[in-house]
Amino acid sequence: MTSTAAAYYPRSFMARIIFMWLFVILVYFFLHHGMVSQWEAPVLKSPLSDNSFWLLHILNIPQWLSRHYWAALGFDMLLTTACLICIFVPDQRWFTGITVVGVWVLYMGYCTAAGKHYAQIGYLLPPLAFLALSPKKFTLSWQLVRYWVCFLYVSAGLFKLYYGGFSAPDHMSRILAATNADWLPYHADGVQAPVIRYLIEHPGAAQWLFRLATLADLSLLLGFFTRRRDGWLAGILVLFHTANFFLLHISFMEQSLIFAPLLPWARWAAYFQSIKGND
Amino acid sequence: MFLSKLYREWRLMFWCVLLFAAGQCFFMYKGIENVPFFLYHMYAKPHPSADSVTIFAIVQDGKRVNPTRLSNREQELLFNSLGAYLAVRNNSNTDPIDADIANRLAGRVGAGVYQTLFSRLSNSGAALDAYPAWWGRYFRAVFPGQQGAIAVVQTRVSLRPPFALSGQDSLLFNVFVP
Repeated sequence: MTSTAAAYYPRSFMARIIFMWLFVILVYFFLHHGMVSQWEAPVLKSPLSDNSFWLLHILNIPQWLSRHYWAALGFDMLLTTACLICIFVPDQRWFTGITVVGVWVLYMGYCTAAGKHYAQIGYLLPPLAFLALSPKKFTLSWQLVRYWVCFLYVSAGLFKLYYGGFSAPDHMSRILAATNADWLPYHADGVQAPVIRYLIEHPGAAQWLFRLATLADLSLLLGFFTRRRDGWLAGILVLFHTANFFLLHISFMEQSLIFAPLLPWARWAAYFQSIKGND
Repeated sequence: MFLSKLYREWRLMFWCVLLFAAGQCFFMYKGIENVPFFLYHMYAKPHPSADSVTIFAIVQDGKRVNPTRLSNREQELLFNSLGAYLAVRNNSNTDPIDADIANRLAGRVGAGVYQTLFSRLSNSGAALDAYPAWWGRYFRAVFPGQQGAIAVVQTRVSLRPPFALSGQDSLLFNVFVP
């Protein structure tokens, strides 16, 4: 966004890209048996103590959806089609709403079926801003999502300081050992294994990497004071998640959309506009 | 400041944000995650020291099936759900959530409603019995062509180099993949 107070984010341009990005993530889910109709009707549920999950389960939504193949297939098709419509018809709210509700239900359904409460949430947040149609409200919503993303990472850094992971001498090497225990037996060679083994065997080096990661989390604090360093912050997050993927095998694709609020949308929109103008 | 701008230009959203921030603070204080009040505290607590760790493994014809060629999502559905299954099975086939349900709902709703809510939140014995068959179906979907008798086992892996798998497996269940 430009520095003038009255400038708005280019909503239509952004909607096309963000929903295209989300569509790619949905295709990734599809290719990896991650859409509701591909779960083969899971029989166990894990709402844990999360009230939102309780509400959804009390309403019988994830159980009913995942156990009725045609309903699940209909849900997957509706979500994917709504997302596609958002790319080609960005200035509407109905299909944006369907997409937003759809990805949150998909997320919660997946978490409960997998018994995992900390699945990646990157693809849930940016689409929310597009529920606002007017340029002014969209711009404010997008900024809110941006602050939310900054908050999540800063809080992650603060938790690491507060709970002592940052100061523990061999925290990271233990995480690496435990996370890779079922990975290393199958990957004796290659590029990754020697690096992971080195870090497990050198807790000091691994712990400095963890401290760097904590600083990367905390660097998002800058995002509360200025938008001028967003490019740097996006770069830091990309590095952070690439390292997570490389060392801990945490999915990069699902989380990637979380970088979006830190990208230079106004500059990109102006660039594409100028190309269009030249044509 | 952004909040004052929000207050001037979109008052309803301003109050929603304040409410959300209050909720976030509350749940952070209580230490419970309630979507969308995410708690980003993964890997924050010092990891306990251990010489070995228990993992799940898939065995077919005496050989281990390599699960790491699956995506995160596929691995999580196959293996994390095993953790949830074991949590119930090792708790005398009683879902650990049952105590929470009783704590939160018993006496606050009628007996009939309680039974309905209970069945929607808790894993029953029938669900537990049906789990291996579901696991087999999902296995078949993510490992096409890998048919036959499959054993799902727990085994220990040393956390010291060379990260050897212990030879002793403890069987969770057998499943036949057609």
